[in-house]
Amino acid sequence: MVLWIGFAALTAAVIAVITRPLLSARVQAAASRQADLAVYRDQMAEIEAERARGLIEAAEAESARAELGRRVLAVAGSGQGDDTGTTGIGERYRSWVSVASAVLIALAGAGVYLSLGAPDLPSKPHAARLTTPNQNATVADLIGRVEAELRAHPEDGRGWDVLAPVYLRLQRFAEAANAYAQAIRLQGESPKRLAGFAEATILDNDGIVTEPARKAYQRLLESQPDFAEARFWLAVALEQDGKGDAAADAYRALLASAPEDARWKEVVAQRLATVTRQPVEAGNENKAEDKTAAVQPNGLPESSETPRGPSAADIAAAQSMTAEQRSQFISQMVTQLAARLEQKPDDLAGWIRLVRAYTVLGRKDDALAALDRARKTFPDGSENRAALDGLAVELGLGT
Amino acid sequence: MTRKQKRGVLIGGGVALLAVAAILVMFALRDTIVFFQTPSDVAAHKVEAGKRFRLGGLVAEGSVKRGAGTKVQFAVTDTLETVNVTYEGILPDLFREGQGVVTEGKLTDAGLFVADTVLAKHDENYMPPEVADALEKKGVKLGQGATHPGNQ
Amino acid sequence: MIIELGHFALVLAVVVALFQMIVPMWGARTGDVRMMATGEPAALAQFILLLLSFCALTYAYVTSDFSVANVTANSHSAKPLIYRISGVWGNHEGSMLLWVLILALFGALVAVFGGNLPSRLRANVLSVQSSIALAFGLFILFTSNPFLRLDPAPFEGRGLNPILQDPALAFHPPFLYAGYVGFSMAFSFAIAALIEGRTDAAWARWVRPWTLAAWMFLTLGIAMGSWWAYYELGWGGWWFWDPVENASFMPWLAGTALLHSALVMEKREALKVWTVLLAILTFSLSLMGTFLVRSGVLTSVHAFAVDPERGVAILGIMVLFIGGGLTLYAFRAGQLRQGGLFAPISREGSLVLNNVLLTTATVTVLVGTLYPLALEGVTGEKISVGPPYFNMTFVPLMVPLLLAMPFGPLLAWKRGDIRGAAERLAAAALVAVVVMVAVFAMFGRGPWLAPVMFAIGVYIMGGAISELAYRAKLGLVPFAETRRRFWNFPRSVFGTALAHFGVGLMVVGITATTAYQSEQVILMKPGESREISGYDLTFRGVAPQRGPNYREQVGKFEVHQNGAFVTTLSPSKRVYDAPPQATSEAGIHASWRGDLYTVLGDAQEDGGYSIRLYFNPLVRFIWLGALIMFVGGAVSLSDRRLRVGAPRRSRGFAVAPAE
Repeated sequence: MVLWIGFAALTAAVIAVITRPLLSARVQAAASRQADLAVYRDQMAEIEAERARGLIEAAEAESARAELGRRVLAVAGSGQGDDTGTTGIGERYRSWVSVASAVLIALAGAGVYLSLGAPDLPSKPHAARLTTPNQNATVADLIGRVEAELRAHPEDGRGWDVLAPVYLRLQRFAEAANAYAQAIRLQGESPKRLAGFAEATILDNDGIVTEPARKAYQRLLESQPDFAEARFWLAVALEQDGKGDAAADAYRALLASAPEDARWKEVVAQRLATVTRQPVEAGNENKAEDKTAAVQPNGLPESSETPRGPSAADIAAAQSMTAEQRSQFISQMVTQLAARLEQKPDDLAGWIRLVRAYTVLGRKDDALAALDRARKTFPDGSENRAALDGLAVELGLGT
Repeated sequence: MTRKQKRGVLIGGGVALLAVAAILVMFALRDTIVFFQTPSDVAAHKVEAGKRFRLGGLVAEGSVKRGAGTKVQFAVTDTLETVNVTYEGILPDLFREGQGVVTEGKLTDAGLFVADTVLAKHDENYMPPEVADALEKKGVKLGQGATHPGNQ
Repeated sequence: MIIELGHFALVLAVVVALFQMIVPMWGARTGDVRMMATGEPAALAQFILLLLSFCALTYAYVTSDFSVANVTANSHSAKPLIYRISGVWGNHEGSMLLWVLILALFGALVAVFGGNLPSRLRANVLSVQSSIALAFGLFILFTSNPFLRLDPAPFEGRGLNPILQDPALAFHPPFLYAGYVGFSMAFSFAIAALIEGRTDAAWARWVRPWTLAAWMFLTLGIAMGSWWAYYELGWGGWWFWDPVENASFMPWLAGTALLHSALVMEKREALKVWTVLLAILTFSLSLMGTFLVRSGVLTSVHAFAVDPERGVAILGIMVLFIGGGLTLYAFRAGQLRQGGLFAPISREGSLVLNNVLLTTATVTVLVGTLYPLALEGVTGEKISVGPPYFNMTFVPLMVPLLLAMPFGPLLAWKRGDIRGAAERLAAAALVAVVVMVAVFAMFGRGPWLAPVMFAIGVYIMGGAISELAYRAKLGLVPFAETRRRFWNFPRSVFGTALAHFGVGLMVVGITATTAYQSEQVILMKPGESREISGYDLTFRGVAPQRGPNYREQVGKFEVHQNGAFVTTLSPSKRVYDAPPQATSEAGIHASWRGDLYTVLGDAQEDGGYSIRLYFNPLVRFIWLGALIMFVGGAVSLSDRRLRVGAPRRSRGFAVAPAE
């Protein structure tokens, strides 16, 4: 309410100030000719002053005065009609102008503001948010508090431990990898931390199993030799190193030891097929796509709600292709995803993935369209909607 | 001199000066501009050895080797072709494998690019626009990171 | 709430700009005094509204309110306060808001101090000024609105680009914009003159100080940018002929020309048609500078925001104002009355030469900057135009200008005596030749042109001093009389002498640094020493450190000269927390003879570091020269004779633009 009063007061004050001359009878004109003469008078005085201080010779002063005299005559002679009267357009028109201006200013100001502004959003200074009670805080607030805490006490391993999986979920992979690394440094190794670190590192490097990730998985296998996830990624690493045969062996071993009901078997089989260059059955790829979530570094199936990029298998598959095949593959994947979302539009993670994919491909218009479509699906003010807005900001897609 | 003559002198002088400037500009443009090439252009023998040009692309993964002193060797790639580059000096802060880079120098007869200037991207999101464009043309897809930092 | 009030104030300011564009000009056309008079309150209201809006945005930055999208994108709560404030204009949206704010400030200054301007001229000027504000205001509201909100608000911002977290760069944009936008005054006055078909006598007396003020800020802004590039980019260079640098340099060149031609117009009522054209062109170049930097069409190491929509919008604004201005000029310039006559050898003549050379130089820079864009547009071929081009075109044009420069102030108006002027400059020329020979003997290396340019710089400085000596009749009259004359000089005489002296100093600094810089790129292990230009540097190793929002590796160098300890230098490599990005900080030791400049490179496997050492002789003269030019401008601006109209309005005007 205070805000609206502020708006109204501001508008009223502005209108009053700028239309005042229209209604005031005390306005006087300074005519061009008088102003010219005033300037020349001034210059004349200057010449006098300079001569008096001995800065110019008498002769120079004389010629300058003559020059000025000529200009004064020229102005006086021109006799242009000057705008000294107050008649102008006439009193009645003037009232019309002031009323119309006032109305237009108020309307245009309010109209434009209402279409752009967010009058119901309060300010949220950072300092105040640090002290907001927990139940009112958003996830972002909570993360921020832990982050602030960690900036002050960077040696607090528990803080890193809490933060790392959250970062991973939010797809802030580089930060997740760093947080896991800090947690490992301060709290010691554990399977969970090692696996998290490796996963974050791999995802941060677009699916390439880097040396640190490989080492982490190897450490992990030392304590838990049956950890399927680690074995899978190490096989992918072999593949990426160009050791196709070794990778194939590793995949086979993994398959052989897999429990009957493991959902990730299919993905491994598919990798194996790619490595050994056996044609994949038609339609298989589609299935693999749906199973993406099956391959999780912690070895447990997770729901497909987890917002994350292409599955491990897809990334790995993409790695082994030529650039051309790769881009074709990626756009094919994107098309499938888009089609699926048309059918089942209430999949937030899917939308986020699609928007990201379009952005990465440089198809900004499609990204915007997808974002729009997604926004229509989720109601204003819902948490999903907020996630979309956050995404838009993050990707620089406007709002 | 009459007013007209004076004006003539003035205009004549101005025109003469502009002519001199135009000649300077033409010569300078002929002699000093530097073309931008990609490794594919180099592979296609579009550039002759000894001519100065800018070579842009990505620093190939695993290609950076430090030699004696401040000599550095690396490869610039547009993912299709690769050109080996040597450079003596300090690399920019943001020079990294897999990231965009623009180098300026000359090609030896053996096909080695001897760079005297290395410009790396300005920050996380920046890729020299000519690199981004050239790579885009070669079908390499880039993220939105291929464009720009927010601004100044 | 404060943020939304700021947003509303911005909207209202744009609406007021619309009012201010239409009503006063309508009044001027119909001769309605009251409608003309609405210009002043409107200009003030517009300024105050924009100031409110700008303060609201600053408040959001200072309190790290991440519910504002712009703050989230460009700030971080852990940033030091000064960079939270400078972050306001450290991004596209905020910097455009600052641009318009300064534009409105200039409009408001006309309203406050323009009491003695003819009503019609004042009304037209305010209308034109407001039309620019309207165009950019709409641009901000609809393509670059800094007040858009986020809900829910992220808890932390993404941080300001670390290379912008630097004191010189923090204040570089405001000065640059004050310069760019200051030229809008000249533009508005030019358009107003064309609309009326006449230039009032007050015209030049107004245009000149405003142009001077804008020129001063631009000088300082460019110098700051160059100073920043020098110590921050770690290349030891201070000017790269980068397109973004050129974008600010072209308005400066044209503005310098305008400054001098406005002088002729003020004093002699000559060169009217030319001055009006130059005023339009100067502001056009400012607009183009804004366009080039903001649209991202440039290939530049700076490479700022790229957004095609915004680029097109700014291009539209630019075409509208440049095209409109030039069209109006084409139709109406003929109506402007021609003024005073003068001989080719005269003060006017020398200023014409100055103008012709400066304009031509501007054109060569323009060609060098736009040619790559044009070529890419036409053939798709990508090229870069670098320093060699500018050395071949720009420098040769500057030599005659520099040679002629000291003559100007020594020639009389209307009809000058070139022999007399030459005699008065003989002493300066003699000193210059001696310096040339000395420099040549001392170094004996470097290009042959270097001693010559050195001499030219010295000659200009000498010329500036000679002029003062001549005017004070040094040696011709008793010393007391000389002193009396000296203190009685109009301040503009000092201003001219200072500014010209600054140019000379700058030429010397540029020549020395360019021709006689020493550079070494070496590997050093802790404990090793190296000699450069008389200094002995001992590398003492590298230690990690933690700053407010970055980590750094700091190298330590002990510097000795002739066995005596001089200083410790600590160049460093920083990595910022948000966004994680690396920068180099050079370690610099400044002395009167030059800068010792060290950059820490990468660690080598054997424990050594690659190190870059420079000695840049007299490099500070470049910025010192720019500073003296700025001071010269300020002194000249304070000259009371520049005030307009009747003496009773004597307070405040002269210092106003500096606020």
